[in-house]
Order: sequence, then structure tokens, then C-alpha cells
Amino acid sequence: MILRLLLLVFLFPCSIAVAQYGFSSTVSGNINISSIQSLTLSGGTTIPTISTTDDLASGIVMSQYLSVAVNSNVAWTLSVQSQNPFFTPMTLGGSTNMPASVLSIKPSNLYNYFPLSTSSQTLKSGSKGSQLASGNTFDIDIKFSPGFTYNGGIYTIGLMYTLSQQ
Amino acid sequence: MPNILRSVFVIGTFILWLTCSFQLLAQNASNYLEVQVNSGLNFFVTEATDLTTTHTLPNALTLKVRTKNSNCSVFAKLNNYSAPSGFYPSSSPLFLQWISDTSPNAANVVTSATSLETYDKLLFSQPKANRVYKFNYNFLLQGLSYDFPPGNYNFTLKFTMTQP
Repeated sequence: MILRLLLLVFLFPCSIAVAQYGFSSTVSGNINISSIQSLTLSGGTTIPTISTTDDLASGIVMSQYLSVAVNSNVAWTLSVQSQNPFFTPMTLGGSTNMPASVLSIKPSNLYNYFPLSTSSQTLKSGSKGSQLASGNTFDIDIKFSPGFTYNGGIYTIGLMYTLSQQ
Repeated sequence: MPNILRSVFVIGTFILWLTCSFQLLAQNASNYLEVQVNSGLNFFVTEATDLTTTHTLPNALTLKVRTKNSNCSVFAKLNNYSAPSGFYPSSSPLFLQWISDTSPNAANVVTSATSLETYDKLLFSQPKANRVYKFNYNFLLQGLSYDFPPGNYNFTLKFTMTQP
């Protein structure tokens, strides 16, 4: 019995000798990411020309007038509004009372246009992701329907697109 | 006679216990891994370009290794990780990049940028030596995207030295 105990005692350090020693140390850190959004607009430089009475009567449509690319790490909303309530005539004799609402806008994949005003209106919403994510790159159609009320001439109006967090 | 054997047993046990104790103390005194943080391990992502470029904290970490008793291997892992809304990236954006070391004979040194994962990844092996060697590393943040929601991401890195 005693010999067995002695054997056990001599085996004990052997078991320690084959154990694996480990030494560890930990350090901590932090990544702080802000809300980041970017908007790229391409196109929109073509000036629609109205030259026939049919154009005045039914308006003209410019499909895919503008291409929009959104990069956002938060769910986003793109809004649009006119900077002025009326178009500004660039030529003599032009009307000063042509409202922004003669210009309508919509995403190309939707059916209904909505007239512009100085109030911000939602054009499209989407999920976080790069412009390669589904729905984050799209085109915009515009429709210009002045009717017969306003004088001929060249007109201008500024549009403001706002990308914001939902 | 049994009393003599009992005495031998007790004394033998004490001597062996003492030997083992000294051995353990020696492991602590002459074999260690020290992680020195040379700059805060903090990244601030505030601009669109920050999401598409690599951030580098140069010479952010120095690992000091002394392995007197036997050869050792040093590993690193992402020990803890927390993100906003439970977001978990598909791949780790944190990397260690070896810069230099003072060891004349380190082996298996991973010199390219290596990602920190939730399991141990070998950084280098060091043959036993009775002196301290330093291994210097850049700390990188790369591979972010617009999928990373805003907020604070806290993490803990664990470095482990093992001896066979």
C-alpha cells in the first residue's frame, strides 16, 4: 500500500511536467461609426423643349432624366422640393407666375407623378447599404406640363434633393 | 518499519511539492507574455471614405515575450465583441500587421496582415531563450462597408503564449 502511495507521489510531478502552460493578456478597444450618407446625382442636364401645341396640351415626359445613387449605413429617405415657388424667366417677356407645380417627378419604377412645391416631399426610401444594394440606385422621370397659360421663353428653377435618415 | 516508510513518504511528498512549487514560480518569473499598447486601440469612422479605406494605427501594439524554459507559440484572437443592435459582420474588420521584431530566430512569423477572429491565430513561434524579445504590430481596421450601422463597437483582444 505504501509503495503504491510512493509511486503515486512520484507520478504527480510527471503529470505537471507534461501540462501545457499558457500565458494570456487582454487589451480593449473601440470602433465608433457615425451615421454616414452620400448621394450621387447623374444626368439632369438636358433641357426639355416644348415646341408644339401637343406638348403644351399634354406635357412632355423625360424618362430617366436623372440617375440617383445612395450610399448609407442607415435606412434612408430621399426628398425633393423646389427652391422657389415660381419659375424664373430667363428671357424677356417670360411669365413670372408659372408655379413649380407644372413640373412633376417620380421614380422611374413608379406610375404616379407628384407635382413639385417648396414643401419637401418624399421621393423614395430605402435600406442601409451601398449603392450596389437593391433599391439604392434608381432613375427619376420628370414631366413638364405648363399648359397654355404662360408666355414662351426660357425658364429656370432650382430643385433641392435631401437625403436623410429614416 | 511502517513508521519509517510513513516518514519517507511524508518527507518525499514535501520535497516533491517544494520542487513543483519552484517550477511553477519559475514559469511565472522567466516565462511571460506582456502586451504593450502604444496607442489607444480606437477608430473613428466619420466620413464616407472612412468606410472604404483602411485605417492604420501604426505601431499600436508591442508583444514582449520571454520564454526561458521551452519554446513557445503566441496566438491572438478577438475575445469579446459588441455591436449596435446585435449587428455581427460577416468577416472581422480588425487586423494585426507585423512590423518588426528583435528576435534572431523567431519562426512561423505571420508577416502579412492577419484578421483577428474569434479563435486563436498563430502570430509567431519563439525558441526558448533567456531574454525578452519584442514583436511590433500595426493595428488595422479594414473591410468596413455601409452595412455597418452607426454606433459603438467594443472589442477585446486576447493574446496567448503557450509552451508545450
